[in-house]
Amino acid sequence: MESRGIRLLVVLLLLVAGATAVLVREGRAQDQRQAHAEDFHRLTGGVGFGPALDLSGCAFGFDPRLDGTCAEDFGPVPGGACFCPRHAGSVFFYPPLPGEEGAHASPP
Amino acid sequence: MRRLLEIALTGLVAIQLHPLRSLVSFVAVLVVLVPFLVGVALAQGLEADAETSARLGADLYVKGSQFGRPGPLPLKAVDAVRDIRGVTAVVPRIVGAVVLGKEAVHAVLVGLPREHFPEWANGVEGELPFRGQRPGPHELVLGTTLARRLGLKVGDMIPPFYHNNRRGDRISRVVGIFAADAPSWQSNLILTTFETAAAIFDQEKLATDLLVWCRQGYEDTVSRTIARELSFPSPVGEGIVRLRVTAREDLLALLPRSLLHREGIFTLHFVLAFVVGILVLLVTSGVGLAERRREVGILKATGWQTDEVLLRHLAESFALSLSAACAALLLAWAWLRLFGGYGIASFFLAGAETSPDFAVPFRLTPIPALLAFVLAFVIVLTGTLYSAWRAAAVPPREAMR
Amino acid sequence: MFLETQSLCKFYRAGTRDEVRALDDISVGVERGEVLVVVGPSGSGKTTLLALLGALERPTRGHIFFEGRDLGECSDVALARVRRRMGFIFQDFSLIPDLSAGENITYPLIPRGVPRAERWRRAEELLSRFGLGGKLTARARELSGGEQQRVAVARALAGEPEVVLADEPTSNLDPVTGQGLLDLLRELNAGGTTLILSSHDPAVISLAGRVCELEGGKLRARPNQ
Repeated sequence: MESRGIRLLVVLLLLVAGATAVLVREGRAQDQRQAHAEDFHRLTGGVGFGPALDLSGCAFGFDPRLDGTCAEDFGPVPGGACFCPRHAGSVFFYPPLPGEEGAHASPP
Repeated sequence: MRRLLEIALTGLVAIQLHPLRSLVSFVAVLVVLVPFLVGVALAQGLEADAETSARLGADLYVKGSQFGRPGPLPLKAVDAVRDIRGVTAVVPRIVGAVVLGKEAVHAVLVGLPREHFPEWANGVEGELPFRGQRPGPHELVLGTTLARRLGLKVGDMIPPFYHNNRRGDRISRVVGIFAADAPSWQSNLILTTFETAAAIFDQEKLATDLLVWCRQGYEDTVSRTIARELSFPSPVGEGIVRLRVTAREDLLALLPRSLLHREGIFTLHFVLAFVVGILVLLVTSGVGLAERRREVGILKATGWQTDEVLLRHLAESFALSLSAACAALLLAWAWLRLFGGYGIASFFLAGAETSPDFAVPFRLTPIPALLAFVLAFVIVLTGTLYSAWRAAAVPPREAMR
Repeated sequence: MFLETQSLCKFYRAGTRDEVRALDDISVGVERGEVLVVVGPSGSGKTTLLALLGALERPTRGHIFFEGRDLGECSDVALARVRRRMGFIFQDFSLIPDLSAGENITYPLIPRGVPRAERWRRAEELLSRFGLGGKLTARARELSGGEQQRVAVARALAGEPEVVLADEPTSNLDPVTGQGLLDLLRELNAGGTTLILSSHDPAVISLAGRVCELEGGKLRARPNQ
């Protein structure tokens, strides 16, 4: 019967509704998470920025405020750079803080 | 219009006419899209958390520098920085690494002055370290992963876990545990007082960094003054410690650059996945191709025009890709929300376990979802429309043969 | 002439050593309301001639005129419109196997803009007429050869065509159903529908106003029956 198409259309609409509900729900869930995030950063003075959960491998990957550069980052090498596996294995990569690439002279 | 809708409806029926082919296409799209959505959601969640961290933190972070590497600061720097015009508050902080238990669990220990703590916080189950002075064990707030791995709960006592030559009580007590949906950096964190942190690391009168808040508009001046004018004798008695300053804006400036990098990596990943997806679909579009070709021939022989046949296949591809994109979004959500990013969070968060016991940061937003649908549509369309057009472009009897 | 061919040729693998001359220089015409039966042994080109007359295939050479319009010069859209005025009954039924009998009949009516209720009314009526009243929702692949043949006939007639082209229409039908189909064709013809049939069946040939005999792809006129 052609109603098979209508049945599938209903399933499709349910899927779209489900996906929309998830997007709306997640938009709202961010508010609760934001409240806890505010508490956490107020308590700690702002800790954590990068894709690492401890300081064992790469303090820079945990928070560049603690160490503005990563000693394990090398580059360029042909085709790119050799990234520190503790923070650049992630898709969330960020470059060293400006002026933190190494020792620098005292400002005049 | 009604005629076109009815033709489009036959496209939905066509999905059921070739269940194996539809299933293979659906699964191929899911295989490409679910990791894509999960990856984008995790990266966006982490980025949002990083932005929150930068915005809610201090205006400036001051740390010591020797030999081009970060080092501790003497506590007298607190007064020197406080005296700079435009500074409203300075809080010394200790952030260091400790290793705990037989399993050698890596933890980040953060110590702040008692008076910095409020009396109560939403994001902590239990209490915070006591604001005033009271005798007794050290008071610690633990991250969720740490508490679980060490088998600790609120009220538990921790036997001495550090060595120093000072006298005093070395027993610690867990007064609180961070909420699981606090930012993921809490997972291996120990929050305590400055004094306790100093005792644990056995470093008197030193801080790893100073948190500096300024009057609005004074950040640059204060930052320059600290970097140019302040230096202190090294705590070891030889040489000097210079100061380095990281401003909130420096951190926030990293985010768009990370975004660009992420886009690059995703482009690379998904160009590859995309090519594989299309190849898979081109192969699978061979499944039942003769049957579909004959079907197109029959439709044309009974009066369908080429554009009507193509509309039917377009509707089929649209429905298949829309359902696959929605299913991928629901699966990605389930993976991240219900299963806590099982197996994938550790790819994005160094130090996370396969099954993290904290809420992994993620954001499912409409734009990646829309992008997922477009990707799915292109993949499915490539697999269906070309073969349909080829069948529809020849005389019906040839397609039916 | 309503439907006419001029020097019609259809060669397969043309220009190669394996060239097959399915039809060679066929000129034949049908007037509106006429019944033309094409006879001939297997492989003589009957099916190819019907396919060309039904605008299902393009000739290698020659012309087909439908109401004076050369089908060789028609666009895809125009050819589809011509096909909508015809009903084709294929020898191998050519049903879409996973669609129901009803869907097979109603699908050709969708692009014609026939409303849904009317499509299904026609499908039910035709299937009932052919003794398949209970098979409306049965999948085509689940039907017997004879049942599929009747669904194919119903599909061809559902569009109320001006000309019916039927390739061996009774070959898979039992004598009673075959007779029923012939009665229906006779009834249609009485209403002005043009019939072009190919068959070996004397009962079908008995319908003919004119019989053409094909042999080796060439046409041989026969005296009227």
